[in-house]
Amino acid sequence: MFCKCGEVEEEEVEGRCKHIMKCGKCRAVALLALVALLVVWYSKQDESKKRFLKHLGKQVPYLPARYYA
Amino acid sequence: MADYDAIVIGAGCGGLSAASILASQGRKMLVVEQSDHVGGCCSTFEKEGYHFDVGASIVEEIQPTEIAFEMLGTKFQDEVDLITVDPMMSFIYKDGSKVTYPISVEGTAEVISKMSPEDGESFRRFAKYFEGFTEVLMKGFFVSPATSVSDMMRLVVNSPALMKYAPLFVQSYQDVIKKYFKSEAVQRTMGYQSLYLGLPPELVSGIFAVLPYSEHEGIWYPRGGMGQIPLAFQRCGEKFGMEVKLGARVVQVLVRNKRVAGVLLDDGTEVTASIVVSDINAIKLYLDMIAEDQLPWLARVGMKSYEYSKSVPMVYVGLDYEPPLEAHHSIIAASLEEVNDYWYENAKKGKLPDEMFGLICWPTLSDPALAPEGHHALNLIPEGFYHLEGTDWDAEKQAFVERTIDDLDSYAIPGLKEHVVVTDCATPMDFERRLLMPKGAIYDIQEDFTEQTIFRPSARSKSIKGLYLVGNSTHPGGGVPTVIASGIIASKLIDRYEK
Repeated sequence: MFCKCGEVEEEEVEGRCKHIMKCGKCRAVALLALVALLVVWYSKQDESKKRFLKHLGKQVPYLPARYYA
Repeated sequence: MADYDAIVIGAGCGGLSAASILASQGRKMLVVEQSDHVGGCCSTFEKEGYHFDVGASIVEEIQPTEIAFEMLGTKFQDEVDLITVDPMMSFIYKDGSKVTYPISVEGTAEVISKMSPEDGESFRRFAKYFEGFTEVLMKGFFVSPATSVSDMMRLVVNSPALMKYAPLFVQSYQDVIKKYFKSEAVQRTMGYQSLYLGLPPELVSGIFAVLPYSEHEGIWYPRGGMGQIPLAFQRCGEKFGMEVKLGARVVQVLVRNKRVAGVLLDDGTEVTASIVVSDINAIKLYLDMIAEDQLPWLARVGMKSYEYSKSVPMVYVGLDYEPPLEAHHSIIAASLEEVNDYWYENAKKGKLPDEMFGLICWPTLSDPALAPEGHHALNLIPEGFYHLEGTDWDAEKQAFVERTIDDLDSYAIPGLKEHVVVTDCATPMDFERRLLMPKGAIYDIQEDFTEQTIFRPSARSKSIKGLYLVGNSTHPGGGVPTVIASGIIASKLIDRYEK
């Protein structure tokens, strides 16, 4: 077993990736780790790059609607 | 029986290219234009013997235009006398010094090497990288529909080289320029171009760093002025029976059961057709001329989410001397930071800059016949914007013209002020009134990649059957070659869906 969450039986797990996909707690931890990495990466960017990323981020919610325009 | 097979609203280059191609395919076409001439922003007017281009000032990326004329059974070069423009661009610094780039990449690399040997070598790599990108754009992207995810997948499958440029989407224009060029003097020759897209260098996507390269592929000027291009489309289309009705304004697109039925003109006349091609701003089309309730809510949200690209005032100047310039196009050199500052401190706050920066076009360098003998015409395109805090363009117009001429006279074009014979000016408000461009935005909707391809208003309407879009509002965006490409795309879509 790769974790002690108990959500996935040991025999079901063929590999680490598959286990993370199936286990809810592991998925949450993986997601949090990814978000943390993104936050760290973002905080290391200079102010100009941050403004570019913010500008890009602001556009994203409109993309589905723009697809139908 | 409908009056026409299709009606085109607006006789800009997009509308005329679509209409003439469709007429050549045997369709009965009507083009309705609200003004008294064709061409819109790509037209030429005469004042006291001087000929001025209204907006567009050169032709580049001519492949889509060549394809359009081939579809009409002729050649672009046979219809329009194209004058090769070289040098590509001159850059004027605040101390009055000038740096001029020729069309040749190698020649430009040598000029840059004199400012910075390292950057000269970088320019060769920069040009090589974006040459491949431009080839991909020209071969497929510009003349292929981009209305759905499957269209995009087809584009990528047909042009797999596009994927090589994917990392540019998460870099800014400024990142790319700074990655290649270290010298501030060199960066100053590449900062301004991002404003063509309606955004400053630090906000616009890195993919558009292709702009400082693209004109090295070649630029041309039509003898007789930019207006010769739409006139050539009109001439070709009329040979196939296309009709152009000038001075008639469409006030409503008639829609019945979610399908277009024709248009209503301002004199109350209804003209019927089962296809309508719009060469006007998409937001105005959908929200004013069709009505919001004809659109699904998601399309309404999308349509209202768009920002407009930049607006500019144009100052037209007739001179009785030869201005001391070095190229058909000159740019007031501005650093990336200065362009960013202009965006936040001036454009966003509605405050005109104290010093002019922007583009200077000298069409009589290429075609002296546009002015009386020994005289010259300049089109000055200083940066400006639609909204002015506490005032408006009608009030500022005359003072702005004088300030622009004074400023350029002081370092960029010595002697300018005392040799002015005639002036005219079109402000963003004038563009809005005369050309029906909302907020005077010369490239219409902003052109960042979040407003491009499938995220730009669709060339084939997803809400109204029989409605097609051409021009700046739709893929592949604003500019003469791109709006002509949009005409090709509309004709392909109509051929596919409207048998």
